[in-house]
Amino acid sequence: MNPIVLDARNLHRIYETKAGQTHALRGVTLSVRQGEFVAIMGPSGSGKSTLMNTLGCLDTPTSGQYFLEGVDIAAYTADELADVRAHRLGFVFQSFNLLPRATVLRNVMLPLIYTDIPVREREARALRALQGVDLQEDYYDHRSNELSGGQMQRVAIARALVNDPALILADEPTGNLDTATGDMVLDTFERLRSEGRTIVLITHEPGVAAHADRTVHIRDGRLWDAATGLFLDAVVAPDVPGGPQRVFLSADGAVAAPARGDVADRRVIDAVPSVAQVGVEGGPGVLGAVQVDAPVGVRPIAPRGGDVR
Amino acid sequence: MKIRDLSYETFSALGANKSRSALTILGIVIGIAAVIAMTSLIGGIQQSLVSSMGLSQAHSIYVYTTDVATPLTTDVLADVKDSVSNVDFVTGTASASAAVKSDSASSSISITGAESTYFTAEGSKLTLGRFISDEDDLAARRVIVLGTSTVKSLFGSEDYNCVGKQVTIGSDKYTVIGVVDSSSSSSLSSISGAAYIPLKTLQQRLTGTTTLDQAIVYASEGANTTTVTNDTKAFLTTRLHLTDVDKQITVMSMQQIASSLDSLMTAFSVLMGAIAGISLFVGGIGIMNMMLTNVTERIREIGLRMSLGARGRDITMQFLSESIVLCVIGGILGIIVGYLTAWMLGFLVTLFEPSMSSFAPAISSTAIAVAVGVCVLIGIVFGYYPAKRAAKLNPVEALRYQ
Repeated sequence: MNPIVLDARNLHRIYETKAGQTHALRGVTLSVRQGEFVAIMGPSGSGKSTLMNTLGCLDTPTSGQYFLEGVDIAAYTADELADVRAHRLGFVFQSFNLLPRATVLRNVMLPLIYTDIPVREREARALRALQGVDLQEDYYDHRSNELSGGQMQRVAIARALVNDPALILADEPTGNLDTATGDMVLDTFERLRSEGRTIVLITHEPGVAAHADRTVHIRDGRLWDAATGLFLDAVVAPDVPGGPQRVFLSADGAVAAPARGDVADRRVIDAVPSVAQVGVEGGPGVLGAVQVDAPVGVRPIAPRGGDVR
Repeated sequence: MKIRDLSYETFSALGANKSRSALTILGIVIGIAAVIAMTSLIGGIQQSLVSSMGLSQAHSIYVYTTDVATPLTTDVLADVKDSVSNVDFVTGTASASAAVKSDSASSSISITGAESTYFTAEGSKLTLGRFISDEDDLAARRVIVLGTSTVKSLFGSEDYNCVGKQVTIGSDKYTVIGVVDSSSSSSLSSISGAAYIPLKTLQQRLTGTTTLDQAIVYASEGANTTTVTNDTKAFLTTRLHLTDVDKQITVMSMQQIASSLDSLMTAFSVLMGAIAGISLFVGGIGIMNMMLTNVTERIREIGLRMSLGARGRDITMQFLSESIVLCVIGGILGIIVGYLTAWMLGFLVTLFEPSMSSFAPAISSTAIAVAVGVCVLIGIVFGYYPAKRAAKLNPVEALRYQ
């Protein structure tokens, strides 16, 4: 079983604005195993960018815990977060964000200037990363503003790979590309996944999300089950890549994040390993313990293509 | 971030905005150029003063009188020599304007009547022949020592060997016995340096009076010239029955003159420094303005760098080093421009004042070090706020910035 790379527990993010408080994340619990390609899908304003920024250590949660490779970084200082970004994370943006006047090679090497990696090793790393994204060698000394959109995004992916990150975060990476070019970029992601990379991709397009091993939906700052329309407390990584993810049901309202293996009297699907999804009937606070023989007010929902007991 | 990466990032960022960078540092260039031009000019003037003021002149004390009942005469000077201690000799001069004619040319010049000791006191440099001797003076011989500038106007060339030739003053013929370098004599006797004849000859043939224009008291080696100056003044006040000392007599040592010039120059330097300071301040504000614009323009880039792992201090260092490098480049250009300006001004000075022909602007390594240091300081002071502002950006908002 691959280890858990990303383990976010009950993340809340509240923005203080002049107009008042904005509750952008309302208790998100989510885990991703090494080697998974996960899509986070949601409409605009759903909190997916906030989630992305939090997972990307660009923002810190107002409350909750975030373990990256087992280390809780929710309380890290700005400098410590920068260090995590420099060494353990790779970003791919919708608008590529390359330095226009710098060469392809220089762009790919850029993250390494914020690490201790010796200068002579950087170029070798950048070349390896570029080979991983199928960009022709002729382009390596081109300025990045001389490239096409698809090429630029592949350079950006190479840049995200260059520090050998634990997690690659891609924010609408195909948003600025036409379908054909976008598919090429998605193929690149799929190949990286097959090489064992862990990828979390944010999108609002189902077609893009379909390339991922699994999709996590977010709405109004909470994880959400698209089939039933019910909010979920937690989405836990499957035991094997490609296997069914396990979800924890939610009563509406704030609930403590269940830990993995937490059976107790809560609606724990861990106790029902073969159940892929469970929905909850009833309003806020009516949730009882989940049992195999579903109690009153709780009934298992047929997963798409899965078996239900 | 390593120094190597920092400098690469700095120069590529500045290179991206060459013309704006160039315009921004103009204020710094002008400020530093003004300081360097002025200090090297002043330094040059001081150096040429020191070099024109030979060792001998450090001993010289100049005496002038105005509106006195008893004028300066050779007898009075002899009394000074006898009465004031630590005096090697006292030499007097008088002068008259006259037309000096050679076979081919004529020149109206000021002729100085001098004793043999005069040349020692003035530190005159002989280029040809000899100076006036005691015998020339005692016998009131009709011999003349010409300045190089006079040789040029009478004989066409400074280098013309005119020793032994005859020149005419009025109806008298004089034999040229020597040539002195015009520029070597002290600038204090501004009219001197043209031609010298024995003092007695001048008194008998041109002025008809024994009154002296000026006396030079030559202090002994190792004597305190200030004491000698004061003693001389006190003695002459009594000897000449002076009623209004401050107006009637001036006794001044070359050292005093040099030091009063020095303090004048210092005051001048302070004034120039203030003007240059204003220019540098304005230049600094220009730098800050540009750096703020720069930060705003590159907010997305800052966000990107932060997302790639740049810490706040990496961002601070990047922008701070840009402003420091800008200022230092401005400073180096300013030093070059300032030095060239000083040369040009020096050249103009020598055009109008040939006696300053040895003038060259003196640039001191201290001035360069201070200029560069000031530039670094300006870069830090005026670059710090924009750099800090860049570092404090929220990476999320910076990445979203349009």
